Order: sequence, then C-alpha cells, then structure tokens
Amino acid sequence: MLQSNDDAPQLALHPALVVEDDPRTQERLARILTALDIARDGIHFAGDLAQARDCFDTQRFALALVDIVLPDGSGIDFIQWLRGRDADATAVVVSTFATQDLILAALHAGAAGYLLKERDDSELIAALRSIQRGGAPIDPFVAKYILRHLGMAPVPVATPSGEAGAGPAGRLTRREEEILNLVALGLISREIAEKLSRSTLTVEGHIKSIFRKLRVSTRTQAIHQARSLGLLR
Amino acid sequence: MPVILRKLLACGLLLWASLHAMSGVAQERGLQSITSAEVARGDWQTMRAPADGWQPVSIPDFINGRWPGFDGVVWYRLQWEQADAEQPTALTLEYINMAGAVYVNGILVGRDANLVEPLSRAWKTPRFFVLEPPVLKAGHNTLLIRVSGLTTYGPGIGEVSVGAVDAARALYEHYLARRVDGLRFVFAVDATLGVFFIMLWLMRRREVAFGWYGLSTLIWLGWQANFIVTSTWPFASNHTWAVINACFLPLFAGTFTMFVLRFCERRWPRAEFAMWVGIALGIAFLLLLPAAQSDGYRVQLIIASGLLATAANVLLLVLAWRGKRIEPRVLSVVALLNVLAAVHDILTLQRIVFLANDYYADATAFANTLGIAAVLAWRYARNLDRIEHFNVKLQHDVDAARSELADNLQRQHEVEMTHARIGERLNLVRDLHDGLGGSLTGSIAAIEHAPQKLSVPYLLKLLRDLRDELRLIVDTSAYDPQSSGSFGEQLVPLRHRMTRLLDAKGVVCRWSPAGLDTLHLPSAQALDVLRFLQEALTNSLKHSGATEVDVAVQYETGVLTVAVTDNGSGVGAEPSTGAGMQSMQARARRLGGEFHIESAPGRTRVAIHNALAGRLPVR
Repeated sequence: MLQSNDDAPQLALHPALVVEDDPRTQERLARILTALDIARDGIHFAGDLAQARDCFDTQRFALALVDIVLPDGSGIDFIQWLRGRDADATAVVVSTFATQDLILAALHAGAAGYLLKERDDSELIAALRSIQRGGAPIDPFVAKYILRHLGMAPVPVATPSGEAGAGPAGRLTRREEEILNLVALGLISREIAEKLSRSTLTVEGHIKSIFRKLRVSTRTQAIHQARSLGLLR
Repeated sequence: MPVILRKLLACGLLLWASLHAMSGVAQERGLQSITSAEVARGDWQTMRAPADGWQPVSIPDFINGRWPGFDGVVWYRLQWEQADAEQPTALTLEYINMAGAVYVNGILVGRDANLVEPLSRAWKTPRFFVLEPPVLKAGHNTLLIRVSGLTTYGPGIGEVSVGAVDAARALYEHYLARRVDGLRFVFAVDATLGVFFIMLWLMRRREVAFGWYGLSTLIWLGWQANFIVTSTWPFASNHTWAVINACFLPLFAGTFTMFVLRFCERRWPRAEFAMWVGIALGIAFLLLLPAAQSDGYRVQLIIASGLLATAANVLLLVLAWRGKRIEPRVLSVVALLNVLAAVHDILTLQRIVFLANDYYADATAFANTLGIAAVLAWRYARNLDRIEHFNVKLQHDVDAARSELADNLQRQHEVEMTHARIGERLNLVRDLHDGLGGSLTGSIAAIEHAPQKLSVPYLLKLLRDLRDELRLIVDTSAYDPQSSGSFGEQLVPLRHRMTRLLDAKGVVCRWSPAGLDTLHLPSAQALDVLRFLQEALTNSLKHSGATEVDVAVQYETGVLTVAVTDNGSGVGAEPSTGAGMQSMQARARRLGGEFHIESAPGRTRVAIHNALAGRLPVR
C-alpha cells in the first residue's frame, strides 16, 4: 500500500474487479472506473464470492469494488479473505446499505473506503479519485466513532512533531486525533490540509494510517473487536 | 434452654454441697471438745460468777429450752484437764449468744463491748483465744463463760473446743467462714444484683417484674442485716432493732409475691391490694404493740411472712408449669429450693425440728438471685439474637427494595426509550410526509400540468431533488445516542457531502459556522435550514460556474442567519432556478426570517436574515 507525501505517484487502480451481482450496477461501476482512466479491458466482473475468489486465483487485481450483499455471502468476508491473500490489493465497498455497523465492520475487515450506490456518479468518482491519490474517503460519523473508541488516550510515543509514529495497532497520535476531530466537524481533507498547513496527501496519509489501526487480522478478531466496541450484541 | 436448666441445676448442687460441707464438718481435728458443763443464772450487773444454783448441762446449750422467755445473764462453767501447760494451747468458741465474757481460771481473756443493753450483737461471732501460763495451768483448768442473752435470739453457747493452737485456729476459721464470711459474701452479691435490677427497671420501666425483684432483694437485705451487723446502731436496744428488722420480712414477702405475679404475667389487683393491706396492718400492729407483748407477735409475723413468701414460691411453681414460658420454669426450680428452705427455717425457728441453729433462707435467696440473673441473661441474649436476626432481615428487605427500585427505574427507562423511539419514528414519518411527500406531490403536479416540458434533464432534476430530500431526512434522523442533537451536529453530513461535491468540481467551499452547538431545532425547522443550504449550494454548483463559495451559518442571541455567497455568474439565467428561488423563499418564511437575494455577475448572495427571532428559548 502506498503511503507517500509526494505529489506525483498515484495508486494503480487497474486491473479492477467489480464484485456485484446486479448487471446494471456492474455497468454503472464500469462507467465510473472508465472515468478514472481505467481501460475497459482492465475491468473484470464477478457475480458472487466464488467467482471473485476464482478471479483472484487466476490474476492479480489492484482494486476490488465489493458489494456487501452477494448471493453466496457477505462482501465483508471477502474483504477479510482478500486481505489475508493480497495485502496490496485495495478493496472498496460499494453498497446500498449504509448502517453504521456495516460500515465499521467493513473498515475493521480492511476496506479502504465505503461508497454508497445512491450517490451521484460524480461523487463516487471523486471518492475513488481520492483513493487513487493515496487518500481515504472518510465520513464524519466514522471519525466520531474512531475518536470515541480508539482515541481515548493519545499515544505517548508520538514523535515530537506529533506526526504519525505509533505502531499499527496502537492508539491514535495527537495529530491523528486532531484530524479526526476536524473530519467529525464535516471538514474535507482539503480544508483540513489548509487548516493544518499540510498537503492534502499528508492528511489523507494520516487517515489511512488511522484506518490501519482499525484493522484486525482475522475474522474472529474482527467480530471480537466489533463486539468489544459495542457494535455487535 | 436445656443448657440453662443444666447449668442452673449444677449451681444448685454446688450450693447444696457447700452448705452441707459447712454444717457437716466433724470436730475431729485433734481438739478436745468440751460437751458437759454446769449452768447458773446471774444478773445483768454482776461480773462475778454466782456461788450456787449450778446445774449440769450439755454443750452446746440453748437457754430457752430450760428457762423459756428468759432475758438475762447466764454463767457456764466448763472444766478440762491440761497435760502440759507449756504446750501452745488455744480455745475456740463457736458462738456466744448474744454477747459475753470469757474467763479462764478466773482471769478475763475476752469480752464483747456491750454486755448490757444495747447488747453487742455478737451472736454469730466465733471466738478464739490463745492460752498460756500463768492463765493456763497444768492439770485442772476452769472456763467460765458469762452470757448476756435475749430470749428472742435463742441465747446459749455453741461448741467449745480446746487444743493445739493451729487446729483450734483452723476450727475458728471454719466457724468464721460459715457464720460470718459466707453471710457477708451473699449479702454483698445480693446487694449488687438488687441495685442492678433496680437500675434496670429505672432505665426500662416496662420491666416491672425486675423492678419488684430488685426491690424485694434490697428489702431482703434489710432482714439479712440481722445476721451481719454487730451493734444495734441506730437503735437504742436489741428489742427496737428486732422490731424494725422484723418489719422487713413482710415487706420482702409482699414485694416477692408481686415479683412472682408480674414475672408470670399475672395481675390480681384485689388479692394484691388485700395482701398489702394485710402487710401494712401487720407492721403497724407490731410497731404499736407494747414491748412486753410484741415479742410473740413478732415471731408470728415472721412466720406469717415466711408462709407468704413460701406461698409465692408455690404460686411460681404452679404458674410456671401451667404456662408455656421457659423463664418461669427455670425460676421454679429455685422456688422449690426456697420452699424447702422456708419449711426448714420455720421448723428450726419454732424448734419443732432442730438440726442446727442455721437458717437456709438466705442461701436459697442467693440461689434465687442466681436464677433470676440467669433468666435476665437469657432474655438479654435472646433479645440480642432477635435484634441480629432483625438486622439480617432488615438488610434483606432493604436489598429487595433496592433491587425492586432498580427494576422499576430500568422499566421506566425502557418505557422512556420506547417513547423516544416512537417519537423519533413519528418525526421521521412527518418529515417524510411533509418533505418527500411534498416534493413528490409537487413533481407529479408539475409533470401533469406541463407534460410538454418533460425533457430528460428536467426529469433528472426532479428525481435528484427527490433523492436529495430523502438524503437530508436520513441525515437528520440518524440516531446517535451520544450525540448532543445540536444543529451544529445535524449540519455536519450536509456540509461534508456538499463540500466534497463542490471540491470534486474544483469549487472551493468555505464554511463559517458559529454558535450552532447551542442551537437545538425541531426537526422540521432543521430540515428547512438544510434544504435551503442544499438548494443554494446546488445552484452554485450546477448553474453559476462559480469557483468559490462562502457559507455562513450563524446563530447569535436567538437569531439565525444563513448566507451562501459565490463568485459565479448570478441567478436568473436559467428558468429552472426560478422554482428553486421560490422554494428557498418559502423556507425562509417558514423559519420566520427574511429572504434576501443579491445577484450580480461575480457575486451572488442568497440569505435568510433574522430567522427564528423570538421563536426559540435561548439555551
């Protein structure tokens, strides 16, 4: 996974796999990916989880757009599986459902983003573009959630400048907490970058690092984590 | 309770054993017991033995048997052979009743302080004299004992022993323990417990039985003083002393009877009244009778009192075994001892049966005291147990009440939560009806009335408007229990979404919210503000070609101001914005504010001023 504060390099989003059982949505997502300069022949489709796994068996994908409700299981399970198999692949959820529990479970499983089908194409394109730039789209409520459950005590090992320095599973650094607070107020990365006199890429790098802290390595752990955070009962 | 009974029984046995030990000690200590003597009457004033009138007598001797009703002086003459006068020798006298002087070989070896009235009350006191030459002689020795006697007290002398000093002293100490120390000991214990019971009653007037018992014990001590004190003080004579002393016994019998009745939870007002009248009359009669006649009557009063006390004990036995309570039964054991002792004492007093000049009533009275102390201790312990159980039960009840209260609170909380949820749902339904429903109706009407305008962009706009409306409702209805519910929080999703949209189009959007954390709006009004903002920002995004948008949402002193300013080409260029303007105007009106619009190329501002003025309480 790319974590760079430079301007130039972009995260490769092709070849891309669309894991989606509805043909019209498949078509729509293909259109959106095309708008992100991904060649049509770099876009593959899988109608269920089995097909998706087969695709990954035959080929490597840089990006997977995953629906949550699939004929043979949950997209979140697939993301979990994918993370164990190919840590470099970027998985993004594209779903009709937007309950907080689902979104957080997806993020715990390792999703780089959670997009809603109801949004305009332009919004989806913008979000994917942000991922392409190395960023991570984040909703204010997710920020609030993370602050509540992960940011209770800032990590003391933060570097003097307050920049990210803590281990992957640690608590939030002071800077990360600051960024999350601004997200929770509804500010987007560009606004936060202006406020903190940093580049947008830096800010989004922080957000990605925050997401990594949410991740856990197994499904059991994900369930345990969600339960301990009060998401599942 | 059997434990208590057993203990009490053990106490009784011990007491009996000690009594037995006192009275049954043989004199075989290597002493010579002088059992035969001569007796002659003397007179009060003469300190010299009479020359004649001597008659043989056996020792111990009681004058009343020989000369009934005799108050006066009697001389005893005893003889013994002393083998070796140089050997340390001592003389022990069990008692001289009432006072006396002792001569050996004509030489005075000891005497009491008062040998005429008021006589020294030395009738219980044993004597011990060490004899040596020249008083003691080898061979024949004569002992003269002058006795100042009062017939009331059964005058005479007790055992007389002569022999080795140590043995004689041991015998003397034995007499002392039995006749003096034991009585004093019992007297002291009775006094202590009597005072204690009186105190108990003073602190707790409901314990009437203990009050009567304390009183009867103290009165009993007044009677027992007869055996303790050694002078007639404060009275001038033994006669007065005896009369006053005798008054205590009927009082004791009366108070003891009262105790028995109260202890057995009985109240016999007439019988009690009659008893007290009888006691009062008996005492008054004794006090009023001339000295010469009072003596016989006094004895009768003592016997009557003894009978009354015995009757009370019998009553205790009967009531105890008729009732179910444990305490009277415990005490009834002692009562039985009392009855036996009283029978013995009365028989002894009347010389009907005479074993020794000892009275057991004082000893069994002591047993009485022990018994009542046991009852009191048992009652105290039982009450403590009850209190402890009560505390446990109380704790249990408190816990139960507490958990019940917690349950109630929990239920109440659940009910409130349900109400809150129902309220939320009602709000949601109303928002859907007013907002989405209104938009749908408007769209349907527009399509019906102008079917010729149905271009694809027009339909797309209608559908997008509907979707945006839905989105706003969803955003404002999202239930977050930890959210403060302020308008500042309700604004966040719209702000984030619109900023991202504008940003994606390369439009810089600057927000300046102020004071919104203290603003709490009803959902309908919150939706109106959000719709206004959405409309204005959509216009800026879609139609104006602006590159910068400033959004001000400010709440101050009860007034909300909303303003969206862009640097675009201005409104009015496209016909579709007209409907938007109308709806914004309507929302401004509903919020009680004024709608403002300034439009010029390069600067367009739509705003609501003075919204909510006076509509909300300032929080």
